[in-house]
Amino acid sequence: MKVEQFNPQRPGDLIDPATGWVNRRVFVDDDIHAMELERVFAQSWLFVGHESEVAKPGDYVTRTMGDDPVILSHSSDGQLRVFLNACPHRGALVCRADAGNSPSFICPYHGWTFRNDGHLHSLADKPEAYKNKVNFDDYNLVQARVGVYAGLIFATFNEAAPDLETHLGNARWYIDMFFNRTPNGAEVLGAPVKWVANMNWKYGAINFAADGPHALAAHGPISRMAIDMPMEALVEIAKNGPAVRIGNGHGCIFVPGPPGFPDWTGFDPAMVPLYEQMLSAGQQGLLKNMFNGVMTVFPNLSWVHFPVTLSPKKPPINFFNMRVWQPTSAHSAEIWAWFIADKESADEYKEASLRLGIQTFTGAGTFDQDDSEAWASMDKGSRGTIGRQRMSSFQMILASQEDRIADFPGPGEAYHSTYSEMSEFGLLLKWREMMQAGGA
Amino acid sequence: MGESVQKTEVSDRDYRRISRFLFDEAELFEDKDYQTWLGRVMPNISYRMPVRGVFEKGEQPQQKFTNGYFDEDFDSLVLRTTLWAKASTTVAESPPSITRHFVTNIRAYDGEEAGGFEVTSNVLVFRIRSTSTVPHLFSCRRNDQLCEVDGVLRLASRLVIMDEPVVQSPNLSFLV
Repeated sequence: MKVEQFNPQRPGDLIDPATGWVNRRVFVDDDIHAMELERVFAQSWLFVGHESEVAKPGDYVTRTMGDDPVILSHSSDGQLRVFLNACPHRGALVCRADAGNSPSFICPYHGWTFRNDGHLHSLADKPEAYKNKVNFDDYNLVQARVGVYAGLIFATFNEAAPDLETHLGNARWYIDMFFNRTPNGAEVLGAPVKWVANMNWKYGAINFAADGPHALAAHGPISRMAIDMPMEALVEIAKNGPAVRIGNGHGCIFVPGPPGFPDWTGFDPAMVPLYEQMLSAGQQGLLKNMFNGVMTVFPNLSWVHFPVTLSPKKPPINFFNMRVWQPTSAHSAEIWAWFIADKESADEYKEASLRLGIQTFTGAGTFDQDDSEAWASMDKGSRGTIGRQRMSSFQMILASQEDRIADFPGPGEAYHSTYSEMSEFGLLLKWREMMQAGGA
Repeated sequence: MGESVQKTEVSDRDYRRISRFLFDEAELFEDKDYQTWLGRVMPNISYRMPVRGVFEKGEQPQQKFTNGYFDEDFDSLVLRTTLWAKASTTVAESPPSITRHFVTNIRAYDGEEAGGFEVTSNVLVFRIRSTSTVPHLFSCRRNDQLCEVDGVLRLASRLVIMDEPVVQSPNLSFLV
């Protein structure tokens, strides 16, 4: 099937909600990518960092929102702020380091200096040189709106966007299960690793929204080695794991442990009483039997969490990988990946969890190394003149959309299987809505 | 000037042996003969490749935990290389990528313990993956500890200091 014609101002038409067909231009077309930067990334709340990355006043990290460089600053007055990393004078970056601690940011071109709350501090000449003809209120760093939920810091330059709580909506219930399950919350274990994937960012976001069946196709051998479970059992639990279309494009899957799977497998046992203190019965029920939890917060923040071991001598423990899919072109994305732990956990557990994370879910990870080739293959096969006229299939929704779980403990629409494509397609439906609305 | 311990350069004979060890190793990596390579490393090996970044004055802010791409012991190296050595077992290396390892700037010093050597080298890897014929160049410096067991050199630890803050390749399914 292919699209004969479409209105370039209505790119949402490339996705057919009724049939689950998605024209591949959505993933490979340069014009559509330029449009999604304006209509999706510049309109949405975007993840910029975790509170633990900028714990002290003066701490900053440089990040990207869509294709714009920004600074996340823990200002000296204690406020978290996000600035466009561009001098109001001529647009040069005012900060070129990945992270640090500084009272100010200095433009490399004329030496204009800004306090870490974004206010202009000094310029090349004395302000009087402008002879009162210039309003210096226009010369502070451009600030984004900032919202924090469960330690996750989001920002948007869109003044009209609903507040962060509204954007996250029902996703908060699931976010709490991962980032807000102990009294002190979560922390990042070190700086993010960054690598380039040869694919559109949406392939990654969808994959983590999440795609059940790729796991054993792309990762079969490593799954057999790193997970102590027969292949048939793995397929069975993946097929029986719920996929949740959370709303607003957010999606997640939960692959439960097989029969006999001990409660809280892979978790730090010392944390379990804290989870029981912080989480509702429904959240606890999902988490204690969770083998694999994968989630995407629309548009481009994702995480994956499951127990592995790369040594026959060591029991499996959970790693917890969080990442953003930075859109760098229609055909490329930077993946920025952190590892996360409950703050109260012992350093030994954190070290072990981080090590397993590095070994499995980074650019050199034993799982990620396979995804990246599968995703690059999708880009390669879809971007040709004939290829981009074809459709990608999410047609499993036709068999799955009536298959709701009636008594699922969490909010949103839960469907019976991670093979259902329901939660993945949910992300594309939100993308479609924003792309269409922007053109109205 | 900080306090620096005067290191003793190895003898010409040992320099030749060490260079040969590193060149042989590069060839084993290129041939994906990881089984032979594993026979030349110590069972308590540490193989690490931490994250790189760009910082004021070149100083990374102090952090308690260090993220990275590799943080391996012998068991995890066995698992990784088993995946890569048999082309059918991993999507990443099936078909296998083509790699060429250029090892240069080798400096070798006597280690603190008898029979131990501290060796630094630069490595450039030229790599072609099945999905892209555009090469990816991976550049790094290696800080190695070698030791001699029964007259044979073995790799005891390797710290790979990579040069790309953002790795321009979708994966790193190879060793350096």
